[in-house]
Amino acid sequence: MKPKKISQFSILLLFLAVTGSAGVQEDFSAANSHYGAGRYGEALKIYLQINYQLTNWQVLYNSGNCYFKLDQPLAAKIHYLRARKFRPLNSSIARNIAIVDKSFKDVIAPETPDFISRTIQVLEARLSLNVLSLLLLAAILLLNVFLFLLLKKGRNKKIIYGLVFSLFLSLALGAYHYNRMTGQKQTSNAVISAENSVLRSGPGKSNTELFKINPGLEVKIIDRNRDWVQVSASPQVAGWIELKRLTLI
Amino acid sequence: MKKTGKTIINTLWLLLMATPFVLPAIEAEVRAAINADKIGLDDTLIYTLTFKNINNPIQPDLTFWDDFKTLQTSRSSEFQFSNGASTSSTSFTYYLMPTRTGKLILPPIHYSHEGRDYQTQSLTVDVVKGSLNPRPSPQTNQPSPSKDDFFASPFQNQQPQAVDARLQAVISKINCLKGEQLLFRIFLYTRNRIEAVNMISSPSFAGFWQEWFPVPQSIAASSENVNGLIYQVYEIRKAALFANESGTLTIPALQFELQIVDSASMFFGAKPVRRSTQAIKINVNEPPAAAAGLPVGQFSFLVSCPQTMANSNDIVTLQIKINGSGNSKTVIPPTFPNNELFQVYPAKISQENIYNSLDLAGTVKAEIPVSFNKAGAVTFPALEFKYFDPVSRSIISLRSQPLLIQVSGEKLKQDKSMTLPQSAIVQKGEDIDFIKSGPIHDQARYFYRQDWYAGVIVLLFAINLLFLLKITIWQRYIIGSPLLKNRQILSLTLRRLAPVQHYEDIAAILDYYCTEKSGLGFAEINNQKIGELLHQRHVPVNSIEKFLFIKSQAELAKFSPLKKTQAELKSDLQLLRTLLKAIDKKLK
Repeated sequence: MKPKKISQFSILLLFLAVTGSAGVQEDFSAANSHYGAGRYGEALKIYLQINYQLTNWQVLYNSGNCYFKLDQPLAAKIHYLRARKFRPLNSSIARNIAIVDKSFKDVIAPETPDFISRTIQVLEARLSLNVLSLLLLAAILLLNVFLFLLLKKGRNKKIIYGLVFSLFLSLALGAYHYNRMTGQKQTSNAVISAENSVLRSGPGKSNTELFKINPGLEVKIIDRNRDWVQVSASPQVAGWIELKRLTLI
Repeated sequence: MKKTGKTIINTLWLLLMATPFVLPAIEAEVRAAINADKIGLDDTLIYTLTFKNINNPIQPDLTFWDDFKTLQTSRSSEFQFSNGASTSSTSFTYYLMPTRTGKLILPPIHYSHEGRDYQTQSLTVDVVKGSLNPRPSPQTNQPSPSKDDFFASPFQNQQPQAVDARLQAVISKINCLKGEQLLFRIFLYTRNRIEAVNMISSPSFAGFWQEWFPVPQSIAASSENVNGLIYQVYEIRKAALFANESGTLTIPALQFELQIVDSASMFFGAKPVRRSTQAIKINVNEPPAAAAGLPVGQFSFLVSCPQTMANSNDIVTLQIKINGSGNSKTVIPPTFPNNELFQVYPAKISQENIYNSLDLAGTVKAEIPVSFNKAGAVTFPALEFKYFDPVSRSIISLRSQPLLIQVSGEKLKQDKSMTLPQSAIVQKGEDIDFIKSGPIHDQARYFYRQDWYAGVIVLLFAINLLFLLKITIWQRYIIGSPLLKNRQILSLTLRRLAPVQHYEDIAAILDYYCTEKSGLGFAEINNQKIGELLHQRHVPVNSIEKFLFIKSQAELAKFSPLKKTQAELKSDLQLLRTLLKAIDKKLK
């Protein structure tokens, strides 16, 4: 392909990307207007359409608001929790979850994280995975530069120190990136969505019933065995439940 | 500094080499193995299926195999944590008896796990008539510590005579009632040093609900004299059993693997030995008809309320605690009936076991949320809890005290449905935060999932690898090799000749070439020696003369007032290059 054709193709792609995102942005503004005017159903329809096209915490959060206004607290909570995955420290999301939780019978107060967990949460909230990916690339590039300098200028103190620093930086960022990447792939939270749900002592209906739980309860997934998952709502409340009774976040 | 540099480069190498091994996730695996390729028709084949990194695999059924009959199966699990990665494996051992002679095939086992299919290899066993295992001779029936076992061990013939370890199962009662607690204990009698004990058989047996006591970190031994021999006795496992059906129930023989310290071994390693407990039969009777369905044991019963006063809009949690020696799983706490004063919601029930030395005590706690329909004095009626006491053989009825709660405040009207509507919450003066606006983008489009990102990472690593190759292998072993060094002398000489502007500059370059090629020092080298060397290497005389002439001219040019013209210099340089190439071929 000639350079002229390549540039024309790139401009076309850029145009499509800009116009595409502009369309979504317009839809988002229109949905917000509907919400402002109290037309929650219409706003929700548009938010859900946007949700099919992209994943964004604002769209999820606004969808949750619509559901709440339409007296569907379970769906509202699910959308708030999905929004919280992308903005874990957002105060509006936390507040709305606390309010919607008042609609449910079973609510277990979240544990207050210790200093280290809190620091990790803040770090994860501030440093998005994409930024981390770019930082990792930069660290490896820096390693390349120092190796190149070592090759060209020979061994000297500054180059060796730079090499050591860039090596450890790459390793640390690589390990953290891998950890975040695997965490992103795993669905570890869910919400009880079916009435008359029961937590049992093992996977299977023949196991002993431990707790009766109600829709809206947020649980952490610990293990899975075919169609059954082991969940924990708190250190005291845990057991096995059928997967179909949960909505994964 | 040199050492540090080498260490870093070696570390980088290791990392680059290790990268492909670190990245892949831990793979699940299903493997099959047999203990022998050839067995007798009277022998037993041990077929082991190992499931690696598969949680709670379901035991495959081999009873459909025509050529083998399954005599016994056992299960064992192992968990390892190594180099930051955990691996688990579960093994099912099948003791198979061949049904005919010939080359018998054990078909592959298919297993599905998390959407992936796994298949073992098929195995072939040559089955011949008779037995390939030597049978114990009748003379070995003389008294021996390992022969006078308390019970028959299916593996005892395979154990060496020096091993003196046996297991005994003890049950607290042979005759009991359905639902009554029995204490089942397994004792190890040994005169050897035992390093570890692993239960191989499934700890679950039919007809009982069982609660195994946690295995302690260390087990204290007691001494016992058996037939004049002093044995160390360990209580290795303990379980509370509750029969859930009447009749004659059997606790099957349980097989254990004992790791016996082998002092004969050079490194004092452990020798695995298998032992079994004896099977125990228990007569289980039905409790009296009036006690049917009641828990059996001895219990205490307590109903309490954390407060005596409440607001009519509050939800108060009443607590029921039933504690005792019966099967806590069968205990159903009583509940309060709804009436016009209060509404009772489903209870949250939790169970807890306390492992005492001689029994299992269970506690069942029920937390019952109640709301009030109106203000006033609300009395929760007394509750009754009945159980059958197997000691006094009577039905015991325990009654709680009625609970009185003073309810005050005006009752707000609210929806009776379990879920409060949004409007009810908003009525309380709370509303959700307003919607968010502003530019939006796809947050689930991660760079690391895109091809370009993987490409850049691979490219950067490849560049790193090339740099490392250049620093280590290339410079040390290729550039530094005698062959390439020889080639480099010529190319360096030719490169140095290229920018020469004055005839006298040629002398130093040729001196370098000659010293490097001949291996002689600057002090030793002269035209005569060069001539001899070139002559020895069969360089044509004509070329030698021309080469030495140009070299001499270049040396004299430093002192000669007559300078050569640029054209002459160019011509001589051209000739010199040709000569050097020809000479170099002979000097290799």
